[in-house]
Amino acid sequence: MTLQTKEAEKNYGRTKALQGVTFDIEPGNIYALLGPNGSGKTTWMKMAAALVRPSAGGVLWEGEPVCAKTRSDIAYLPTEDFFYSWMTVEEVGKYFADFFADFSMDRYRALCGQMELPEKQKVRTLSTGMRAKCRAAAAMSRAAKVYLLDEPFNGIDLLARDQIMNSILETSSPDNAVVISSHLVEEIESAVNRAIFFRDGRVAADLDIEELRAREGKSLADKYRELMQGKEV
Amino acid sequence: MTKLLHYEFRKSRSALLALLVCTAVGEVMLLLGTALLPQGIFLLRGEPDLGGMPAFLLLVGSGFLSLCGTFGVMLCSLMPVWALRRELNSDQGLMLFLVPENSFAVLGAKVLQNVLILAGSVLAYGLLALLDVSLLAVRGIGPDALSEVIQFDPAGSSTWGGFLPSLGMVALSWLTILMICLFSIVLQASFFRGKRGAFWISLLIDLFLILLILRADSLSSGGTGIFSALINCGAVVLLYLASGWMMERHVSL
Repeated sequence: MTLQTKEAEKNYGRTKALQGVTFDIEPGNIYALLGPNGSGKTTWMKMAAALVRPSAGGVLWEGEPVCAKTRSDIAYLPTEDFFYSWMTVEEVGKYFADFFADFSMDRYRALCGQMELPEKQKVRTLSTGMRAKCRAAAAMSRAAKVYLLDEPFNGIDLLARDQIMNSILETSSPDNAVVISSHLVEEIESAVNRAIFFRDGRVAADLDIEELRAREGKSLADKYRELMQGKEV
Repeated sequence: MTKLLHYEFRKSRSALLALLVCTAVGEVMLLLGTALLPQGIFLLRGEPDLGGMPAFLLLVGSGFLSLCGTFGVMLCSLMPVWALRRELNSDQGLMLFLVPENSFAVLGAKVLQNVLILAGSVLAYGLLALLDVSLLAVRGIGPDALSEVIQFDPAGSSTWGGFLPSLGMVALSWLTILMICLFSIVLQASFFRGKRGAFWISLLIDLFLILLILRADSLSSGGTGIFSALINCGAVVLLYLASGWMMERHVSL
């Protein structure tokens, strides 16, 4: 079960958000999706979640173009606050349970408990960080085949970041793949085993991190600086 | 679809509750006015003196109910339209478009909610009107008046049996207009997204569609017959299919 991206392109008017992007997401891996702002990471994630239509090429799941149905297998955690304003933390869980067969309310409650999210509180009254935790708890309570996590640590304190990272590591298995987009390169380096670098809407590199360390003696952060600034570290 | 429909109603809950409360207030006033009415008042010769309080309660109550039954229902049935506009133009759309339901189901739930609100309103307000007029007739004239109520001619129709289909036709026409609004919103979020003057172009397309349907409608006899109903049903189906297709193929969040 591979999530394949084949020559994917996305244009917004004259702006080319993605150009000829091709790579595969294989189960059993945790991927870091790295690149500066506006490099196309979020556009690719939204395309893989069937939220953005490609201008050319596309993303395939089990050989078929992604569509609404494939969202049953692909969990997407967006950066945006998207819950309905009338929802409580508990109602968010119920909503996910209503639509996703792989959602575990018990796991959601456990994650909310760990992250100290009050179940009866309205989501709109939560702080930015607490809302981010709620989004992460909802996404990580699914037993999906692919997790696309767009900036899951944005606006979250260090301890909560650890909790989310732990939930990611607990969820990761040989049967699923996790893709984490983040600017905190050093922080996710120990958790991921592959890295895909985006620059100007293109894939600049697709690397195995162990190989990177063994062959080039470089850390993920070093490689990031090299690829994005063109400087040899 | 059932779950989508459930959440569509949840989104409109406040508006529907407000409508229900206003209807209840109007109904209570009307019933009180009826109860306070002197027995057999309409049998007296000349201009009947209803008395200050009953007349006030009947007037305000019936006014309230008329407003609820028309503008209230119209506003409530507009809720899915507003919700779709918000969802296609804000982050909240992710709530709807992250779930494994295709655009036809998403849109279908909104249209179905509209149909249920309109059908429910026609039925509920129709029955309420029948009940209120019956009670008023029994109180003001006597039990014998009930048979006359059944033969009542509320809108130039021969009987209540003719009035309800007329009301249904109004609801169907309103549904067509709502469907045009949904189509326009999807059009703005798809082909015209980010384009200058998108709103005005969509508005012109809207007006054109309304005029087209009205023109087709006028070809039927008086616009209230089977032909008119078929034209409206056809328009609703076509607009639903076109909107669903645009949402499925051309909307990016």
